[in-house]
Amino acid sequence: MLTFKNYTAKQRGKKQESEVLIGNEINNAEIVKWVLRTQFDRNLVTLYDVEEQVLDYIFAHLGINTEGCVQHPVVMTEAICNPNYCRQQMSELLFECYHVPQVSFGVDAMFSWYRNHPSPKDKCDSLVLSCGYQTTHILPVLDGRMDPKHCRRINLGGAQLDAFMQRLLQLKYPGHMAAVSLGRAEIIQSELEEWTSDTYYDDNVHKIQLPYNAAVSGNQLSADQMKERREQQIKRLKEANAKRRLEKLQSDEEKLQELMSVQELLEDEDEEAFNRALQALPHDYSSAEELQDDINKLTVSIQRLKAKIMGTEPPAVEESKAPVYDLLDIPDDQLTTDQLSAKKRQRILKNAREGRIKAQAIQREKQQREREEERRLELKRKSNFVGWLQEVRNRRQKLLEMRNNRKQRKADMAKRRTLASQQRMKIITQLAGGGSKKKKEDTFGQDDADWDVYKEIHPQNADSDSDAEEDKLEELETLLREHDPEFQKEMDASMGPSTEFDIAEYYRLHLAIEKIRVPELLFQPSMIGIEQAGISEAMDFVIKKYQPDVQNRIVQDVFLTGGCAMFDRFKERLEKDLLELRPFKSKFNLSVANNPILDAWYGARQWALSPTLPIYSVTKEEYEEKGGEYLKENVTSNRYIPTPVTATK
Amino acid sequence: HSIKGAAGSKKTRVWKNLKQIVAAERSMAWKPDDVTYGSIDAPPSFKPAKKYSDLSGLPALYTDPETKLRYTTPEEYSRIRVMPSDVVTGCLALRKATAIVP
Repeated sequence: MLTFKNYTAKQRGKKQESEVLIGNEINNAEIVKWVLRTQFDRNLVTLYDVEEQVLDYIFAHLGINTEGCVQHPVVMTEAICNPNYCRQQMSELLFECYHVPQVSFGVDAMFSWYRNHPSPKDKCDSLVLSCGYQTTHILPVLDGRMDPKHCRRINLGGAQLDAFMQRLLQLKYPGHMAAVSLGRAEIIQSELEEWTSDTYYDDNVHKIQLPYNAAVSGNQLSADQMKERREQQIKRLKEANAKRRLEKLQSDEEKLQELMSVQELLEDEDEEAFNRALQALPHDYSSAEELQDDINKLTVSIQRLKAKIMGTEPPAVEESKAPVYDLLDIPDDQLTTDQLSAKKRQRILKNAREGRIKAQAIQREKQQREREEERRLELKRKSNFVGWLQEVRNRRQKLLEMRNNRKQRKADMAKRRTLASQQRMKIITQLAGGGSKKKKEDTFGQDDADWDVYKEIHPQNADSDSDAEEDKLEELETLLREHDPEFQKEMDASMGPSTEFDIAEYYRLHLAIEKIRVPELLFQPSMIGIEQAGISEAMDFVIKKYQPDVQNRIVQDVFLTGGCAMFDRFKERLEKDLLELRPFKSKFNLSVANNPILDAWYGARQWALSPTLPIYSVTKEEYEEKGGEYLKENVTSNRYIPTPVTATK
Repeated sequence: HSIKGAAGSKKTRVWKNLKQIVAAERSMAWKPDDVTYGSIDAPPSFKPAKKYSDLSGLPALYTDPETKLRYTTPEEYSRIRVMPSDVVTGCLALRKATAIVP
């Protein structure tokens, strides 16, 4: 017997003639490059070219080597109430393409029923629950024939349960979204069918009661490897940087040499040669002073580069000579236009330089202050331990409070009707409406303080200042952790799980309530947003369509088949629901197929071997005469309802 | 060998998908007693749907008004507040509850 999944895989490539893998030839269904196609659309076959490929595969594997035709009668299953169009296409494929001599169609659930009810007295009234891969059917059987009029189909099956399981795990563990693939979800699902409990009421009361199962430890990259990789990357970056600096140093020194040699020419009082050399240089020097300036700049930058390579602090930048601001002192009306523009330039330069000096001075002061603070703290720690501890704790508390306030403000800005968001709207309207008196000139960006408005408006930007704060916080915390015995306990109480990161634990998925939720989907399709009734309700609906005496007869033999019937204690759950539905003190019987997955095949096999097969098969001549939709009804098949012919005028 | 599609035509034959087949079936003139693929769909449920927490799967007693996620315990609520938005939409899409608010 050959079992495989109905998939073909083709390479998503440019070539038209790329290889096609079918069924069991597909090793790993998850490779991104391959396009997976199946001939099914829900439970109907719609893509007949894929079906042809699959049939080719089947016949090849069964060892049929007759050229161009298959000389064996074929028994094939079809969906319940298979549309005539589909049967037409399938018959066409079998008869025309493969030249099959005779074909018989049947319903898979009925084949399974046929197999499990061998003796004639069993063939009476029954209710078949067929839990398939894409759909679930509730199928009443009267007098050995299925009653399609009162059959009902729920569009949920094993495939939807797999997808549900996959989405649940992905959402629960967003860090592992890639790892939770459909294939893994299917494996979990099939294991579920062996050991999950479906009686959900009792287990759901207390969270603590749920068993914790370390199910999957999907390690693609263990964390150690990732750390190593990151370190290697950092090393590589550092090496690249160092190399670049060396190169720049070399080129700078060369340039310096050139310029110095040109300068020497000047000192040698060889004006002509000097001018010629000046012109030859790539730069456009008009005078010797510019040359001198450039030389100075280059020497300074070389010094800094050297210092950086050594790893020491670059020396403070000192201006070699103070620029001349002579024009500033002369009042405006005594200057020509050129001198005026020169004066403006000088003023700008002067302002910029003064501003820079001031800023540097302020920074230096701040650094000095911080260093003094730290020194003071250290002294204090040595002298007065408890006081120091208190101070550190207070500082940490303040930082935490500030962080919380910022978070709260950010959240408030998002919600409507809070003070923060109202303020924000006011600021925005002011800016947009133009609160300034000048209507023509928009001087927004020229003042550095203007940009701070964005910090107030946009809630995200406010966080960017917090990096420095985070560092401070960490420093304080490490200090505390070293010196304060009580701090550790506090941290544990507030944070809950320990800061020790167990890598294997991180990669473990816990499957506690998903075991119950996923099969429960069959009973409550509303969990996934599908508007249909669940199994129990639909069963109730179907049963109530009959007269009470027929109801009783049907319910005496409820038969479960199909892959999803293999969930542990599925039968008990159904018995419980049926007990709720049936009248007080009435009896019913539930039975499960011997081999729920494969019984349909065994039933079809039994059917094929029975001597009555030729009576119920459609032969090639009959196909050609009566068309592809024709169906010879039998115990296991659908009813044949020919397509109504629209009267043409 | 395949008889489908003309030999040498670049475009492969386009098959009807499920929706088209069902729609085509429905539009035909059946007798009232006839059964088609579309006529055996299960009816919608008569009982109100039970609500389950989007995070834990336990019966949900509360709903967060901002994100519309359902939760059972206050700890779940604190987790909902810091959840990234793509996970939020994922949970809602699973329940088919991502309607645009008018």
